[in-house]
Amino acid sequence: MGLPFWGPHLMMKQIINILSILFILTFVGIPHLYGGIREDVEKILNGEFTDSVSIAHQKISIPTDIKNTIQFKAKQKFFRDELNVWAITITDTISHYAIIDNSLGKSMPITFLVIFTTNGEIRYAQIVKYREPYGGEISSLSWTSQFMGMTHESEFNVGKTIDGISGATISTHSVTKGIHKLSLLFPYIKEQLK
Amino acid sequence: MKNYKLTMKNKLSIIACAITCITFISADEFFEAGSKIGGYGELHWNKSYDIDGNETSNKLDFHRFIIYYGHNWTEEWSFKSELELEHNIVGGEADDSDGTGTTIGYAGELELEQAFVNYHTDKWGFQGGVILPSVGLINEYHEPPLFLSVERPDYSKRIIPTTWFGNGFAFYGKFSDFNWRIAMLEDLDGESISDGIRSARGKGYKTTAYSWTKNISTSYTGINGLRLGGSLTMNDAPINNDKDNTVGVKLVEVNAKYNANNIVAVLEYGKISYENNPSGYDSSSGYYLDLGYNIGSLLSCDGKIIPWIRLSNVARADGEASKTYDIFRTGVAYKPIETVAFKLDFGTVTKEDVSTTDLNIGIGYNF
Repeated sequence: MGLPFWGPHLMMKQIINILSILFILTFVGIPHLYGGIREDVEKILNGEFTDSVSIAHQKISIPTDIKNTIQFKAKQKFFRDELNVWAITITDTISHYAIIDNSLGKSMPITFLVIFTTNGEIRYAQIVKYREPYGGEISSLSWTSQFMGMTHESEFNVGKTIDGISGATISTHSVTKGIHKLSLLFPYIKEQLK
Repeated sequence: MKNYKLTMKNKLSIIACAITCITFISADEFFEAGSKIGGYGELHWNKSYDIDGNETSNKLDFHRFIIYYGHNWTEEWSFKSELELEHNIVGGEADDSDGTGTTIGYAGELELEQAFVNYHTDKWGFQGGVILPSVGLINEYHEPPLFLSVERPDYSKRIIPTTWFGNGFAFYGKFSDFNWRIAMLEDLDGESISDGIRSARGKGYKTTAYSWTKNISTSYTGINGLRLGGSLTMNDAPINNDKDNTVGVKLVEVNAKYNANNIVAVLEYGKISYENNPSGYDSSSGYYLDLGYNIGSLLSCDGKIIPWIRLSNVARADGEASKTYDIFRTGVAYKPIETVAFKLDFGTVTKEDVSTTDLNIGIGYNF
């Protein structure tokens, strides 16, 4: 019977080898393997706006009472207590706000981005990361473009104001609720980032 | 101190350790490992009448109960499964009075309809285990609220044997608005091929893979609400596990679905060609066309109310009048929410100028 891999017999050289692999993967490999959602969002924002704008990221905590009220109205929970938010500024004035959050698909989270004007109108929405084998059609910009111009007062209703996608029922409803949720949150975000 | 060489076993262990560490390190704030349960089911009340209007059957059946269980290890690696109980109870005498390969009465079926490891990235993915071939609209997307009738269309029983599942693996991907999938599954049972392939499904039970069932499919989803697709499936099905004595099967199908602007329209056509069919049939073919319109908003109703009609023809054996059916069906589906459907439909099935009728009422759900 051979010796177990992990035990006192493990030589310093092997430990160093393992640590080296982990170090390389952590600080060199992983940023490339996993470019990161935030980097992806900033690429989208840079593509959506001209170079003359400045894009500032920050994390914002949502107070429990506001969070509970919005979750009740939108019928969906926030993924975390903190949200990643970007303020897009043109000549010292904020022109747009971008927010990302997750909603839950059949079994995997779906990460989505919504860009609001200062009036709370949706300028742009995009699925940043879809992790399911079925229903990937939801990532199509032609589907997310249906949210353009909607505000927190709009009716977010799949089948009525938003077209559904066959085979992606759970995902389409979940993302629609998620975008509604961020629309309801927008006034608070705007107040925080004044 | 004793010096140990870095053996192959240890190298593999290091790699495994590194992968595990990547998993934990790379788990970012937008993903959490975990499990999820879902499911769907449907209760049916089916009544049939002969040409004189006499009731020939009256069946109240909880046709399907499915539990979905999935577990996500990482963003890329997950496990997905569906366990299905048909007709509510397992055991008793098996029968097949309607010839569809589905037993009724007390002999329900407990089936592991899906159970696969999934690797998924933005561009492509892999599945291995008990999987579904991509053939027709309903085989992969078969939750009851997704189709209008109480029972699945006859086409989806006689031509596309839904739910068709089996042991195998698949690669899939996406290029722009086009999706593709290539699946390799267990062989069909050659001796069970006759006027269709429904009874020839191996269902993952001690199957063979001499020829492999090759399933290639594609779909286009670039326009909101529209899906256009097609597939080709081929197998040399061994007769009594004899790889040198086979039935050649080639199934070609196309499908289209439009579901937007209150319109629901579905068209599917498929043809199965046989070589060396033990029953002597050369081919089976069929189609159905569904047209429906959601009048929920006209009636100021929160949900959807969809009256619809279906035109269909199914030839279990082309050129054989006794195996060819014309089907007209009409009904209404009410969906108070998108994942719950109440359905009612009435149909006539005409074979050799003799028509029978049926009435179906059902409740379906998924979550």
